[in-house]
Amino acid sequence: MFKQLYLGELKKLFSLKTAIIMLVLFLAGYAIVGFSMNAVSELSITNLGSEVEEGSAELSNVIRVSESEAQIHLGVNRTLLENAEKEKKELGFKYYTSFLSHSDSIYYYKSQIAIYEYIIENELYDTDIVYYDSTLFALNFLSGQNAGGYAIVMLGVFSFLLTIYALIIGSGAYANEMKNGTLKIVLMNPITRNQLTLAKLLAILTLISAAFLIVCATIVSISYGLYNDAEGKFVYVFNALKAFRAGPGFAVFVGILDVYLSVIMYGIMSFFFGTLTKKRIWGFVIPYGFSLTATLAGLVGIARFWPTNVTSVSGFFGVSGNALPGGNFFLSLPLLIFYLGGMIAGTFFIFNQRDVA
Amino acid sequence: MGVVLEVKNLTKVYSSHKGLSRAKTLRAVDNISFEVHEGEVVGFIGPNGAGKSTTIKMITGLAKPTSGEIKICGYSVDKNHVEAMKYVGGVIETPDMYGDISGENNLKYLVTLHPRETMVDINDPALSLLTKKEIDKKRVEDVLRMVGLWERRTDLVRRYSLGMKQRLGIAQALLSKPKLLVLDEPANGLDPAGIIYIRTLLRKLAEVYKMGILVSSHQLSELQLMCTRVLVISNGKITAEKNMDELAQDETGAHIITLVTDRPQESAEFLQTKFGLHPQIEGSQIKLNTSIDTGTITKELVLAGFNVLGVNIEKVRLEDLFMNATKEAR
Repeated sequence: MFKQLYLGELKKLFSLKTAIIMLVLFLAGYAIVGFSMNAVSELSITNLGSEVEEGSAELSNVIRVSESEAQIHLGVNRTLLENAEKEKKELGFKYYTSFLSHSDSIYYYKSQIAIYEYIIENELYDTDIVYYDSTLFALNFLSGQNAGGYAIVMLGVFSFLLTIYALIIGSGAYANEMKNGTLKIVLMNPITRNQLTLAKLLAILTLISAAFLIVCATIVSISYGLYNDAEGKFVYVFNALKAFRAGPGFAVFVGILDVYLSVIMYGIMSFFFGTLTKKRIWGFVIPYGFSLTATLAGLVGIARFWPTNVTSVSGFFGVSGNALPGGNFFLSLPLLIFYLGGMIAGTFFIFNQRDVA
Repeated sequence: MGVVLEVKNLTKVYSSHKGLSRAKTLRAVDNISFEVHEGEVVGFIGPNGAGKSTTIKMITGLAKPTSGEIKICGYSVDKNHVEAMKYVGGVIETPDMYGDISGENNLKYLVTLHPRETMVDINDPALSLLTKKEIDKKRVEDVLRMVGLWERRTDLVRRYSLGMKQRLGIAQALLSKPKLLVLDEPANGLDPAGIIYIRTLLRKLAEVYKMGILVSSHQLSELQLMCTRVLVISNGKITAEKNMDELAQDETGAHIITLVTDRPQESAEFLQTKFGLHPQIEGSQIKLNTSIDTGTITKELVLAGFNVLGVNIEKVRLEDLFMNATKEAR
């Protein structure tokens, strides 16, 4: 019975027309972005003086230090951290509202310390160490032409298409049936409302995930088909605590996870707000509004709590200040679960209480 | 006769908040109780906003009662929702269906939501050998033929006329062979032939399949032909509950009588002076709207020396006229 309900919801939510339009947009967009990216990277290589070869690790996020240099860096960063923490104490809550440095300097110094400690511990002196930074890693594609960077840039570019698809699917799931009056004939069957909500939710997640898989598989296979992995010793720092080594593929994995969580967040948000307001348009506008107002949230110091920000897990695997002031993985993850869980529970609740028709 | 629907002290209060002002409450349905038995067609009538639709929505589980209980075949709609819903089918307000797929595909989807046991008729052992898929397919064909949509089954629903949508709605309601059928204005948008078809179908469903049918409608003449009993609801309360025969008599007591006499003009004047009536003359016929019974009127006319050639107590049967007028075309 539930299987039938789920399959029915899947059929209802899937529109071939929308899917084809999105696919055409994706492929056309890919052609345009792909060609222009190639041109830009060719240009930058020419300007850099043709010393850079494909796959070589001429990357800007590379550390190469001697033993003494590592110690100096460690010391400097520790001092900087002390100063930053002092500053934070003085600033109080204002520390979180710094608009211009929309990143956490304490987090940055901590991750720097973690990486130099890692170098010293493993005696990785006078070797190129590529550290992961979600932004730099992507930008390095321009100079280094590597598969991982290319994949991350492309994922970033096309995550907006996936977001729109998620909003289209999620927003209408309840609101459309309410508007068309078809909810009545479905609910007059021997099913509970919770079963219907669950079927809808699973159908939304299935469709979004399918679209995500198609986009991801295309991007990853094209990027690894065109380019080689970047070479070098790749080091990541988890949550400004501990550095660890993993291949460049890990960066791609984190990038994929980041986009996936964000798309899921938009899908569930639009389902929740579409259900709450009974209007599809609000299921579309409100989640988008959250992403547009994320900067404003930063101004008042609550960016790290913002629903659309808590999905950016890739910020917590890099040596960078990408993390929002005061943000960390162990704050973001429960918040992410809280938001998703809250909205899912909310949708079940609203759906259950409401008079239909 | 078994009870298929039992409504007990049902109340629905709507509250509306406007700004910061105190919430206004509206008792849409106020402590009503009634029953529907199997094989019975019950008309549910009342002015707009009387609470008909709200009651029907609560019966079908679409709206939540503020208090009171609804039982379908003994199962509480609130506490035992899934069981209760196995025995009810209905069309509420408008027969909305998925417009972008065919009528047949709409039903094919909806029929899968019913468990096998409600679909299999104990009186039809041949069915029990079929798979759920085969039963579903057969059932969809059956209901489509039953409502006369078989020929148009592959058309997209959004290309259907309102009447066809209404038929499809009824087909949908019949999918699970319900014990209780709840219909909200089933004759809306139907042409006279369609109305007769549906009326005949509903009577048959009640008589042959022993369904209990609750029909809400504003078309009293239609209900008069269809129902065995009517419930009148007004301001959320049931103000009258009557068998059809009783209703026919006391509809303010008045009826239209058509008389044919040898001297229409003079007999009309006689009736005006004698009974204070205002007869209308149409050719050789005299039309009267009165509560005085026909016997008295004819007797007085005959005693006054008029030849009464014909007397007819008129019931408005527009369909008959239509059927005759369209007989050749059909």
